[in-house]
Formats: sequence, C-alpha cells, structure tokens
Amino acid sequence: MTRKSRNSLHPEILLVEDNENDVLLTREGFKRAKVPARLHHVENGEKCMAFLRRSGSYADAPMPDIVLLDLNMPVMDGREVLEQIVADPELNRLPVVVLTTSEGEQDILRMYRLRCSSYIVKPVDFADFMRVIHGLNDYWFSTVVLPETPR
Amino acid sequence: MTGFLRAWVDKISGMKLPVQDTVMLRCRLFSLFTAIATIMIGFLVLIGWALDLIVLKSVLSGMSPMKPNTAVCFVLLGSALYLLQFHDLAAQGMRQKRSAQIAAGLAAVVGLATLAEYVLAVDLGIDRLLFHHAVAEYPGIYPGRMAPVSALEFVILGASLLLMDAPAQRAPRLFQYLALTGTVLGLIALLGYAYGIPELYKVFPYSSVALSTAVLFTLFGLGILLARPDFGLMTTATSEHLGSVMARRILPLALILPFIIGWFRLQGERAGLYGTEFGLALFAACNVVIFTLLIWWTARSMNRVDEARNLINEQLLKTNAILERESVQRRRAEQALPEAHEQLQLRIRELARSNMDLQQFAYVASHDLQTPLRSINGFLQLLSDNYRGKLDAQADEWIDRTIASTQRMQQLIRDLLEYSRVDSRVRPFEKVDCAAVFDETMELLAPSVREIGGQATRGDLPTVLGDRSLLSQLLQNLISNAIKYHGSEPLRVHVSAEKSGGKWLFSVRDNGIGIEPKQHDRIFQIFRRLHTEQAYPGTGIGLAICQRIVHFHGGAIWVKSQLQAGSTFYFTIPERITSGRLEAVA
Repeated sequence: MTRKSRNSLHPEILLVEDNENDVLLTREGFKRAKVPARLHHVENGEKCMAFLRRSGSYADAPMPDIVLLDLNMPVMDGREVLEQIVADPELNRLPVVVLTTSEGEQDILRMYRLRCSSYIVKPVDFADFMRVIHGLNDYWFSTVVLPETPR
Repeated sequence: MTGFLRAWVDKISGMKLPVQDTVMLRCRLFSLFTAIATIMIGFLVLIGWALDLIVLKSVLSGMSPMKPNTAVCFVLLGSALYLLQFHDLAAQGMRQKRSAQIAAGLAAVVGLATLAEYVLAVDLGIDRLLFHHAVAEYPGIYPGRMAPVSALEFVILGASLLLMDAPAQRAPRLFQYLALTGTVLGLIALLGYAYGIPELYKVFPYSSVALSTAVLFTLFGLGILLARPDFGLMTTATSEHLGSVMARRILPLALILPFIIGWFRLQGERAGLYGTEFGLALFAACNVVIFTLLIWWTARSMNRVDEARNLINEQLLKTNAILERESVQRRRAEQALPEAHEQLQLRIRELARSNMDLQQFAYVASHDLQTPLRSINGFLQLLSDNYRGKLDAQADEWIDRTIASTQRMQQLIRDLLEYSRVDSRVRPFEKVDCAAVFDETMELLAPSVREIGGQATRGDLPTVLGDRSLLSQLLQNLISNAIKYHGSEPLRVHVSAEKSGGKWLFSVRDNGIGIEPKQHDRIFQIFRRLHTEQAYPGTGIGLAICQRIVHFHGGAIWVKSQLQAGSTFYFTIPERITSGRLEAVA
C-alpha cells in the first residue's frame, strides 16, 4: 500500500515520441486530465535507452514508473527499444505501453510477443485521445500495483 | 506384261525366279530361251542326221550342214546354260551347278580334242563317232569334223560356262569376256552368210560353219551374258542409271542397223545399181542419218527423264528446305520457350513487387497522413475548447468546419487503410460456412434493419474456401448498402447462392432505390459516390472493398439494377482455389 501510494503520488512517465506536436498535445492532454505525474520526454529510442540507463546527459534522470513508447522513430525505433528493455535485467520489470499510429497486425503481434504492457493506437480525434489519457491514468495510477522503483 | 512374263517363267520352270525388275527378267528370259533353243536345235539336227532330213541338217540344200558333234556339243552347252538359270535357288543350286559344269566341260573337251586334231594333224576318231555313213557323204578334207572355229567356240563357251559363278577370284568377269568373244566369232560367220561372202564362213578356220551354227554361237554368247544381267560388265547395261537406260536403247539398234544397212548396200551394189564408192558413201550417209536420229531420239527422252529427275530433285530440295526451316523454327521456339517462361516469371515477380510496393505505399501513406491530421485536429480542438466565444461567431464556425473536415479526412484515411489491407493478409484460406457468416452478420445489422422496418433473408448458402473475416465483411458491406439505400417500401433483402460451372454464384437482391445502368461499373471504384454526403453519408469505399475481396478469392462481382427497381449484386467464389493459395489451404 505504501509502495503504491508512494509511486502514485508522483509517478514518473517517460514519453518516447519524435513528433513535437504529439508531445505538446500529450502534455496538454495529461494536464487537462489532471494526471498527477511528471512527464519526461525523449525524441528517439537511443535517447530513451540513455535516459533509462542514466548515461551521458541523463545521469540524474529518474527511473520512470511507466514508458509510453512510440514505434516509428528515427535513429532507434520503438521495436528495438522494447527488445533492449526486455533483454536488460535492470529494466525488464518496466511497464511499457506502446502508443503509436501503427495498426499493423504484425506490429501488434510483435510487441505483445515482447511482452509490452498494452498496445494503444493513437486516436486522430482529440476527444478520443483524451479518453485514452483518462483511461491510462485510471488504470496505471489508480488500479494496478507497480513494482517498486529504485530512485 | 511383267506379270505375265513372270507367271509364264514360273510355269515353265516350276520355280519362282527371284527377279528384281523387268530388265533383269527380260535378260534372263532371253538367256533361258537361248538355252532351250540351243538344246532343241541340237536335237533337231541330230534327228536330221538320223533321218537324213536336209532341212534339219543344213536349213537349205547345198549349204554346209551342222556336224553331229557340233549338235551334241550344243545340246551339252544348252543344257549347261539351262541348268545355270536357277543358280539363285539354293535348294537345287549345288547339284545343278555340278551337272552344268560336267556338260559344259564335255563340250569344251570335244572342242579341245577337235582343235588338237587340227593342230597335231591326228585323227582321234571322234569326228565319225555318230552317223559315220551319213557324214561320209559330205565332201571335205575331214569328213564329220567340225570347223576349227566351232571347236574354238566350244572351248571358249564351255570355259565361259565353267567359270560362271566361280567363287570370287582373280578374274570374276573372265566368263563374260569369253562369252563376248564367242558372240563376235559367231557374228563374223553370220555376216558372211548375210552378205553372201563365203570367205567369211568358208576360209580355213571357218571351213563349213553351218548357218545355224553361226546363229547359235552368236545367240549363245549373248545368252551367257544375259544369264547374269546383274553382274560385272552387264550392270553397265542393266542398272537403273541413265547411262544404262541409254545403253539398252541404243545397243540393240547399234548391233542390228549397220548389219541391215550393209546388207541393203551390198544387194544394191550386186544388182549394179551403184558402184563400190557410191555404195560406201550411201552406207556412211545412212549410218549417219540413222544414228543421228537414234541419238537425237534417245537424247530427247533422256532429257525428259532428266527434267523429271531435276523436278523431283528440286521438289526434294524445297521439301528439305521447308523441313529444315521448320526444324530451325522449332529449335528456335524451343530455345525461346524457357526464355519466354523466364520473362513471364520476371514479369510476375515485378508485378508482385509492384503490388507489394503499392500496398506498402497506401499503408505507409495512410499512417503518415494520420500524424499531421492528429496534430491539426488536436490543436483545433484545443482552440475550440479554450477560445470558443472569445473570438467572433464566424471564427467559431470556421473552427467547427475545419474540425469536421479533419474528421472526414480521417475517415477517408481509415477506409484507404482498410482497402489496402484486404490482400495484405497472410492467413490461409479455410472452409467458411456462408450461412453462419450471414447469420452472424445479421446479428450485427438487425438493429438497423429493425429501425427502417423490413427483413433480410437467405436461401441455402454453401461452405466455401476463403478468408472468413473478409467474406463476412463482404456480406456486411452488401447488406449494409441494401439497408442504406432502401426505397419507400419496407426493405426486402435476400441472399442466395447456386452452383454454376465450378463456381458458386451468390446474389444479394434488394428492393431499394436501384442504380442507373450507366453507373454500374463506376460504383466499384474507390471513393466513387453517386450521392451527396448530405443525402447518404459515407466515403464510397464499401463496394471497392467488396470488389477487392471477391477478386482476392478469384471471383468476379457485378450488379443488375434499374433506377427505382431494386438492385441485385452478384459475385462468384470458385469451388476450388486456382492460385497458389491451395498450398496454404493444405
């Protein structure tokens, strides 16, 4: 109970997203939904891995409670990120929610095979997107118990 | 003619002569007749001696008679030649050959003995062995003794017969040369009789050669030659070749004509019609004219033969050329076939790749289009939420219209995605119970049907091989259209199927507003709409997807309809899968 409250008090979310507009809209959406989390952002997979491993400029980065992962990104895409997270014993307890435009059956199948926590197709309509954010908030920060995160 | 001759030969010989062609047959017939005639004349002369009949002994009174010895020798030679006629019949061959050689040998021995008498001036007593009284009546130095030339002839002709058919040796043609010599010697005596020149048959070596003897020698030599028409010297005259044909034509005439012309010339000279010089000139002129004509005639017929042969050659060459060309073409075609196959495979691969590229393009483009659209929509929504009422009414309306447009565009992109996804599926075909699919679809659509009032029914629907979700989408789209475009009467939509030549023919019949015939093809095009968005909302993707699904299953789709008279959509699904999908099914 303490772990849950501690985590849910100030959940840390890492948004891995290369599209600036999507980032802005996501931030706006989280603000409107009053999600009590801190939203960190990196624009590709490589930076995501650096953030998670606290390497380079991310030496002081907090360990997120959940990762919102886009799939199609330059430098390193979301598929590779999930592969590396799963293969890394320090990271493989992290819940990873795929949040992407891709509805490809192959992508969905592949990400679940890599044991992603959820696969969400980004709705185009903003009202629909808001519903997704509310859902994420309700589920990940009020319903489930997350593993304790070393800070 | 040939048939008759052959039958005749068969009859008299009691055997089948293995004769190849007419020429050979004629030659051998001549030889056979010569043999028989020689025997018969020999016997007749002997009968003549026995009965003292001049006509049998010397033909005409006052002419030299044929000696009994000569007659006996002729019977021997004739018998030998007769027996040698059937050399190619293996069964009788050896015994008959032996007998023939004994007969020929005896004749030669008699001839040799007579020659010995002449040369050594002895009397061996053979001259008067037969009919010695009758023989003695004829005047001469050696009564009953045959002429030296006759003796020589018997030696020559006897030797010739002995050598005939001898196993291959140094001079296999020797018997033919001997026979030729015999003929020429006989001919000289014959000329003497014909031209009335006693010197030619009465000079010492020829002393008292009888006319019949001369004739028989001449014929007998020929008879020997013609007994083996397919051998040695004779082949030149008897073969199939043009030269032989010419030889056969000219040779007999060349032998006989000068003989006859000469005879006429001599008769004219003797009658005092002209002198020796004129006679010679006449003889030469006649020979020239006759031989010119003969050669001209022969040449003409040779030319005809040659022309025919050339024609045949030409045709053969042509046929050959055609065959060669055909064979070349066939070879080329055979070489081209794998090439064409390769080309086809290449085209198929290209098409497949291009198709893949197109799908990939549609898919990626749709995705990438969605991202900016999401931004536009998102910020517009934020704008609308945060600033509604703070701008003027016009701005609020424009924002609403822009949001509506982004939503429409989003729908179009979603439809395009769905359309491009139809055949990007990798699921193998399975057995799909269309009745069950219809029932499921109707569960989804029942509320809509109920809303407008009406009913959707089905006949017996088959189980087909296909993609279940696609077939479900197909039925759903078609029935949805029927619901959407219903008329003023309560909706009736009926789905049925029947077997039609290896395919299932499905029909979806409704009583809706119908479609103008000129639009029947256009309605299957993507985003093609016949109505405004206000009258009937939608993007115009439904039938395009239906067509893609049907094509994906190897079938066809079409519509029969009139305005205000309902529509019937038909589509076919093959009973068997014809493409590579079958492997996936297996």
